[in-house]
This record gives sequence, C-alpha cells and structure tokens, in this order.
Amino acid sequence: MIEVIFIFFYIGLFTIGGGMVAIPLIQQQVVERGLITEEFFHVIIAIAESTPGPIGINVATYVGYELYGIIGAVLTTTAFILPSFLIVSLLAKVIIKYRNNLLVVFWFLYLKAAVIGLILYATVNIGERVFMPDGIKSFDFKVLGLTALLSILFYLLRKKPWIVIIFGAILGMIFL
Amino acid sequence: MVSLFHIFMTFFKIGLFTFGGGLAMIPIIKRDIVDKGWIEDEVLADYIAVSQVAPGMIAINIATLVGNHLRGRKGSLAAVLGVALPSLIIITLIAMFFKTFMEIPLVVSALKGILIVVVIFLGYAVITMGQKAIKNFFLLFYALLVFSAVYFFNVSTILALMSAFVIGTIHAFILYRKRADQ
Repeated sequence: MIEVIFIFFYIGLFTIGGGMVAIPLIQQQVVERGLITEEFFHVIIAIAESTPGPIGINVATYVGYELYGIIGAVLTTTAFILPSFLIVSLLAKVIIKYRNNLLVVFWFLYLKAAVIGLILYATVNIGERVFMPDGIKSFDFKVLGLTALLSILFYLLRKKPWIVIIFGAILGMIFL
Repeated sequence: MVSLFHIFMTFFKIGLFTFGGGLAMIPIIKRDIVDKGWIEDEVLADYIAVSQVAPGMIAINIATLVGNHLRGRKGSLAAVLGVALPSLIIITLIAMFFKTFMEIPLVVSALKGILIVVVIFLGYAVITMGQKAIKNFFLLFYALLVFSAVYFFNVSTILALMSAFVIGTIHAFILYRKRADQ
C-alpha cells in the first residue's frame, strides 16, 4: 500500500500540463505493475471521463478504491494532489518570478513537447484496444464508423463535451 | 473578507459541475470570485499561466493559488478540499456499486461507446495542445521520439519527461554560449 501511495505521489509530481497527462503516467505505473488489468483500467478511464471533476483525480480515486477500498481512495487521491499543492503553495512566488528565465523557458518548451508525445501514446494505446481488441485481424469497422460519427458530433459540440459522452454511451448500447 | 466556507463551496461546485476539470473551471471562478471583487482579472490570469506550467493538475493548482490569495494557507486548503471532494465521493460511490453493473451487457456496451469518445478527446488534445507546444521540426521530432521510446521500447513515462529537463538545459546552455560569443 505504501508503494501505491508513493506511486501516486510521484505521478502527481510529474503530471505537468493537465489531467490528460495523468492517464499515460497512471496506466504505465499501475497496469504494468500488474495492479490493475489493462481492460479494467480502460473501464476506469471511461467512467472518469463521464463523471464530473478533474479526470486525473477521478482516475486516482478509482484506482485507490479498487485496490484498498475507501481508505485507499482517500490515500491515493491525497497522495496525487499533495505534490502540486505543496509546490504551488510554497513556490508560487518563485515560479512567477522565474517564469521568463531562459533555462525555465527551455525546460517547459521541451516538457510540453514530451507531454504531447505521452498523450499521443495514451491515444494510440487505448485506440488500439478500441479498434482491435484481439490483434490486427480483429479490426472493427463498426467502431471505425462510430468513431467517424462521434468525431463529427464532437466537432459540432466542442463546447459541450458531456453531450458527446452521452451520445457515445447511447451509440455504444445500440451498436456494440 | 471571503469566508473559508465560501471558498470551499465555490470550489466544491467547480468539482461537482465541471467535466474534465482544468480550464473548464475558469468561468465559475470568474463568476463567483472575480465578479465579486475578491481577486483582480490580471492576477487570475497570472495564476492560470502558472497553473499550466507548475507540476500537478491545473484544477488543483488554480485552487491552491486562488485559495491562498484569498485567505492564505487555510484558504488554499479549503479550495483544494472543495475541488477534490466531489470526485472522491462520486467515484467512490460508483466504484462501490459498479462491479454489480458490470454484469449487465448494456452497461459494458455503453462503456465501449464512451471509450471511443475518450480516444477522440485524447486525439483532439494531441492536436490542439500540439499546435501550441510544437513550435518547430526539432520539437516535433522530440515529441515523436518520446512517443516511440514509451510505445515501442517501454521506456518509463517519468524518465521520458525527465529527458525534457536535460535537453532543455543543453539547448539553453548552447544559446547562452552563442549569445556570450557575440
């Protein structure tokens, strides 16, 4: 349990640029250590995205509950939040002061690019499972069609992503 | 002075009603805190900028900074508790009962549909965030290198992020030397 708390503390520390980055970080740490199956992790992501609240916190809470019940949920969530809370409250003034320092600017230039690489990794990783659950031969054209349809819907309803989630659920119930 | 309870409730509402968190919370902060004159627009803009570069989730960072601005340490604690509590309650409740629902085929199908939407959201994040972050070919190459390292060679995601500090430092150092030479 201490190991899991430590994992979430460390993920919280490296979640730079929003909750989306937490997905690949948590996936790698939790799934590859065999704590949660990949399949169930994808269920957790689907639920985390369709419930209110920051997605990173939702995933951390769910994984904590799954592993150690309510106490686990409280502990992983706290561990996940703690690094940013401490760093930001202690170093806010320093961060504001050095935001334009040459070195800091270059760190963030590359960090932001790395973050894109990681979110791309999460997209491909989850996308693979969605499109071809059992290897390349199981490529699901029905899913491809739904993806096209939902992408158009998302493009039209960008400001209200939760409506797209509801459509996703309904279309899933009908076709999948 | 803003009461700790008001801070807590404002951020509780944010946690309860914003999907995806992060920048979606800003309109509520504007309405409940800026419009009441407790924080200036420019200060909030500064905090939002810092939240995006500081470690941790944007939602937590904004809550910490705004809470701290309003009532110091206690304020930041009230704000962070407020923003995280709805997730903790809702997700724990769902997790408690979800195993039973997982037996229903219709629920499984609905989740499959939602997962497609998640992939679309992630892909959209890659494109929109990428347009801002990838400023030249070298950065594109670097982002793809990070992707390949993690995807094909199972390199740790944390190690991949650490590489940004190394390359960033080298790049800044080269530029600094160039400037010094001129």
